[in-house]
Amino acid sequence: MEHAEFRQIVVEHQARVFSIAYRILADRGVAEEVAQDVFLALYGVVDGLASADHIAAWVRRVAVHRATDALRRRPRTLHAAGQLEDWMAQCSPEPAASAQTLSMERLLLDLPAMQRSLVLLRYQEDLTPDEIAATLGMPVATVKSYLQRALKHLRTRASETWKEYMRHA
Amino acid sequence: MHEENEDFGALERALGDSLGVRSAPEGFADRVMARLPRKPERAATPWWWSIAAAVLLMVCGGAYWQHAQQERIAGEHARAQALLALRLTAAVLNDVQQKVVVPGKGETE
Amino acid sequence: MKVAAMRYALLLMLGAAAVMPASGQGSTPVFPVTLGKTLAARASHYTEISMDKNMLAFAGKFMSGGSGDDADAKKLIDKLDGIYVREYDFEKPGQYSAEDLEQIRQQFVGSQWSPMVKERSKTADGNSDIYVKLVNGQMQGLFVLDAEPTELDFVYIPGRVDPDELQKLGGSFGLPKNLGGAQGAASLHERAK
Repeated sequence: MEHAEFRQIVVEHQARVFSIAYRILADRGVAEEVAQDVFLALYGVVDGLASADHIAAWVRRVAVHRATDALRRRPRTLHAAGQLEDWMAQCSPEPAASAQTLSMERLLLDLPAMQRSLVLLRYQEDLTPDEIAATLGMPVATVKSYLQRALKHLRTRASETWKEYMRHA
Repeated sequence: MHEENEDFGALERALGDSLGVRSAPEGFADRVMARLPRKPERAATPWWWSIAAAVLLMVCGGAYWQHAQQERIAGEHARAQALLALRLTAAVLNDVQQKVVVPGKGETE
Repeated sequence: MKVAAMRYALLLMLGAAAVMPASGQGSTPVFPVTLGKTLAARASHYTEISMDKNMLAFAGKFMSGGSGDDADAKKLIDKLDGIYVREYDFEKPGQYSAEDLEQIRQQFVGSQWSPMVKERSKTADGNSDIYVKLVNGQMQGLFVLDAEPTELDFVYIPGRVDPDELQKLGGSFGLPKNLGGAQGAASLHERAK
């Protein structure tokens, strides 16, 4: 594929790929590295992808896998209460985002990697459970089960300010 | 139960509202393009070469290829199942560990 | 009636399990949960994966052996006699009883299996158990039971579960680095001694 054409694909999907990586990793620097790697890998296979939809599904899947792989290589002691806030303070500084977005992203970090990925595909990418299953190569029942668990965990861990937001939503 | 469903509905709406995609960092596409490999020059092959190769492949490899394809598909499925089993195992062990390491949640031996 | 039938089936399973080691034929270990069909019927969602040694070997042929997750997975599954995963989600609590779980746990009493983790929640969040099978000081099996009011998960891994490999994989597949629990850096291997 010509570079010019590939650049258009990068521009079209960069926000999606970066968002998935960032919301799994909560670190802009590492998220950009992962996102770049996704596109470099895409370049090697893009000629074999049949359509725009296939490209979208491919980048989602690879972004999720690479971000969760990167996450697993990091220390696992960060999710205990109290430590999370300290760690996030050390992360790369954030451009302004809405309070609700930041609150929700922080809540997401409380989820195990698999549940976090499924929540992103469902609510950021707006995929149905069937589409998520097809994207990740998982049984639909497993996807639905983990989404249910994720929602239960999020509801349990939501802060008072978040409950206030839901009441007014 | 109805109240639980309402809570989920509000939570799902909140998730959808707050998880719009974030912009990629400025200059992201430029940095990706800068890392792409240069395409190597390829010597032109005669037009008849591809036809000859295809005919040879069909004659010699038809049935074997089909069998190999079927085995590859079955093997990829088995590989995916095994990896999924390991990921689910990890998720279950992670759940157990989280219960064990959070103080005050219960008693542990 | 259903509960009585279920318990009868479990007793039969226990009887079979008691006979099997004496047969000495090295047959494939039986997944120590016979409630599967009952739980699946009651579940809103369930996932069941059963891979015996042959299937794992076949899957291993299609894992790239260089480096990364495939290579790590292949090294791990090469030593296993199987991986069996059962996950059940229920609409409401009460779809299984404490006695059901206790009968599963009883299968490990007085056997080569040792309890490694026993977690009982005071807040009714759920219970968790991890059992390991030790033969001549080597881990030859792992069984995990994770029970919550509306979720029930089982993982059964017969075979040569290498705690060092599992520890190394901490970081891959999300396997916890410290499978020994809350008491610090005790490895699975140490706790199994």
